[in-house]
Amino acid sequence: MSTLQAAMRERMVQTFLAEARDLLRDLDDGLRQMRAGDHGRDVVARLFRAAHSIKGSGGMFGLAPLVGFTHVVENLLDRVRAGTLAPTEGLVVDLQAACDHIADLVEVLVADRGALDPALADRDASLREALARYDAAPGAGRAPVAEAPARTMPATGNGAMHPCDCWHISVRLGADVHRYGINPLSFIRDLESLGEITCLLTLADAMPDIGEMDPEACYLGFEIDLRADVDKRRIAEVFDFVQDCSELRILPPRSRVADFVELIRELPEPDARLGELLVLAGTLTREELDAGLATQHAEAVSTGAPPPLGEVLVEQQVIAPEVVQAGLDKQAQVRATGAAPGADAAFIRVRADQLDALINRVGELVIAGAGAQLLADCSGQAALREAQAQVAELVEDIRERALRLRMVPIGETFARFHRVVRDIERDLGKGIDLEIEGGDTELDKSVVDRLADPLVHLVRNAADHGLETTAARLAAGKPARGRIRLSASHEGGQVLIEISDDGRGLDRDRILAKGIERGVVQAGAVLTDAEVFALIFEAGFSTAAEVTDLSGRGVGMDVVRRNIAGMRGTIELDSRAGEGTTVRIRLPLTLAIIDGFLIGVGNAVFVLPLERVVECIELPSALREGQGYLDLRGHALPLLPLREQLQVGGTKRSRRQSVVVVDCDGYRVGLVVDALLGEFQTVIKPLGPLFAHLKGISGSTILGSGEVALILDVNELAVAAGRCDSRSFSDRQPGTPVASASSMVS
Amino acid sequence: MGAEMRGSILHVDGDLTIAVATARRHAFAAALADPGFGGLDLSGVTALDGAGLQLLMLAARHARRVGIMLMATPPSRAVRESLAVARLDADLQPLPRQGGACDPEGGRA
Repeated sequence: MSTLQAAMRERMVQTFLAEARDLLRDLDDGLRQMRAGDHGRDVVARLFRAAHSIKGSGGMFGLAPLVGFTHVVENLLDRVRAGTLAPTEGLVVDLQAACDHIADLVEVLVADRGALDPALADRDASLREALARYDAAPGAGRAPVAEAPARTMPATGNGAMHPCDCWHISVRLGADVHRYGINPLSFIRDLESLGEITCLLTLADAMPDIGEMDPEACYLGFEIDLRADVDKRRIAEVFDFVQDCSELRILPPRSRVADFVELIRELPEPDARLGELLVLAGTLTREELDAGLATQHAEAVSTGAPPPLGEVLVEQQVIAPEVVQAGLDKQAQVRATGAAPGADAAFIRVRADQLDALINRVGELVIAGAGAQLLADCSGQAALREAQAQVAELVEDIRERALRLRMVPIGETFARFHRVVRDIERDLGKGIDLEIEGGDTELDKSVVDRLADPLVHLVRNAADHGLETTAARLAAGKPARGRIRLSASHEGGQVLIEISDDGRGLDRDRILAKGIERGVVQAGAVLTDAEVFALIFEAGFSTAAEVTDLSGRGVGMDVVRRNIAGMRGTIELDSRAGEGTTVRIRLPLTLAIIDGFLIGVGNAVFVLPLERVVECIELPSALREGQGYLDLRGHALPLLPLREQLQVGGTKRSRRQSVVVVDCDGYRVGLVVDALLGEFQTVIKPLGPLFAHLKGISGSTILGSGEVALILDVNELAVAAGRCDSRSFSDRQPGTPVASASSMVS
Repeated sequence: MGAEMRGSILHVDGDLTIAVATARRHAFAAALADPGFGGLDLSGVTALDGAGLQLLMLAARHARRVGIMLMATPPSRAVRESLAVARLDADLQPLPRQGGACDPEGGRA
């Protein structure tokens, strides 16, 4: 294989992998829906399509074991779809196992170029056996490939469904068609007067959601097979009035290959899978596609070296090589979002460090822009100020776009846990239901990546230590199946991730005993629940009575805490004996830029993260000297005088002082400052190793004037001042859990 | 003539065409945003064109996503005829047809 071919194959393989993983997620989602009792037509149809597409694209790469196995699954789904096989719980469970197996096959086969190791082959065989049980009453559905290795050419009976003796009309109507007073449905009626429409698809893939759509714009398109004894001109005439603004392609019966190649290339729908496209384009019938797969399988059995489906189809002279390549190109041409259909929307792989460098520069631009703005404001020149304002607007836009480049939904990371939990279920023999919420919450890609490992650890901990055995649960009067909940949400400019279980809860006494045994806690010390629970984040701390494969080796929680703290996040535990444990992780949305609130203390300027600022009030002059709290609308608000806390010099104490009320993970603290200087968008510069030990300072930034301002870490500041200790708070703010045993550990 | 929520059902009367598309879009958007949305009553619709069809396809997308039946009552004859022309069956949740290729979602899942 030449280097070029190797590179091409690699590119195709990556496309195939990305697509297969998407499809597997579809399968996984659908099966879970079915297991939850939703046997709706569209669920089953979606499952079938996903399996079919995996099989189809697997065939393109000659992954015979994948094609063979997926075909078995597809057949079963086809029968469920046709109503000849009941979607019993047993079947769904078997299909889930099969789906996991397909996921493994995809990865292994791509990595090892088509070879199965013995363990995988064993599982393959046993799963096939399990699935074969449902074959007892073969009803509808196509003959399984394995049983019909010989070429089964199309049944003539339904040849009318996909005949090549039809005109193929592909039309995407222009946006203004409705405004011209034309009803697109009239085209179909006109075509029906010319002959018989054997197949018609109404497409509206280009249509955005209802919030964004233009109700008067036309988003419709049609793929039509028309059997009619007319010439092309006659068909084109139907679309006469819209030809200028629409995309119309008409392929005559038995078109040249090149025409189909063109059509596949030009179809705007991004997700069209090759196999479906070939069928859709009328190039080959579904039976021909299946026959191609069957031949491939047969050859794989006899020679052990399966040619890719593409080759098989070419060999059978079903399709020409150009068509296969066009289909593959189409797949490679990214499936980017529903946006801008027809445009060559494509993903570009970008090195993460280059993206970081770009974002860093954008940060500098924001700072430089702020400086220029300051100068412009001082200059008194209106034109300059206006020009600078325009620049500032653009910089803001670029900043947002640059940051958005890094934002990804956490759902993909969460979705992996279905598999993790299923594996744990099997290994531990516990029934576990996993609930996921807020999967569309977006956060910085680097945060998501670094979060995956801690999450696995926490979920395994919950499953292994948190959830009791089925027998113990029943004895405790709980439902037999344990529940683990993963959720993500935005909370005050941060992302809150919760992992909760309804298990036995943490054993306070055992943790305390262990802490005393290890010398972390002095015997006889009186600790709050929060302090006791925080012990499990100590290195080498484990209370698991038995070490299992999954967890309980005494490593982990300290690593989890370190990972989270490394992302400027916090982690806390909340547990009730017999009711369960909740782990809360709070993370910043992004690591690069924050919206800040400038405050003056003495001669120095500091930055507070804006999202932490709740409100600003004047410090009442009647406040007694040294009084450490304030009555804020009936709630006691602890005060933290920053001048003393930060030991800021400077004599110029302003006549009035202000209180900035900030939110520290649910608690509120009032920071006493000398001046409120307003909002300021700022780039976080790390402090460097020399200052890394400083508590209460999370970074620095350069103001427009060139002055350096330190960014305050509100949580640490409050902890350092002893104001955020749970013992000193009897009065939590509304909206946070009452009496939770929480402790900050960052 | 218009569109209004009665309970959880959006009732649409009169034409569902380009002439009233903007107004109907608002009614549909409000209905779909309502978590209690329970479907459409199109029994009083007198005409359905491409612009109206688009709104129904959007509503169908939503219905599929949240798992409800789109049509709370059998739609009017005008609606049924237009849907038949577009080969989108009455409840806009098309059955996969034989051969699969005619499944309107085929290949684009």
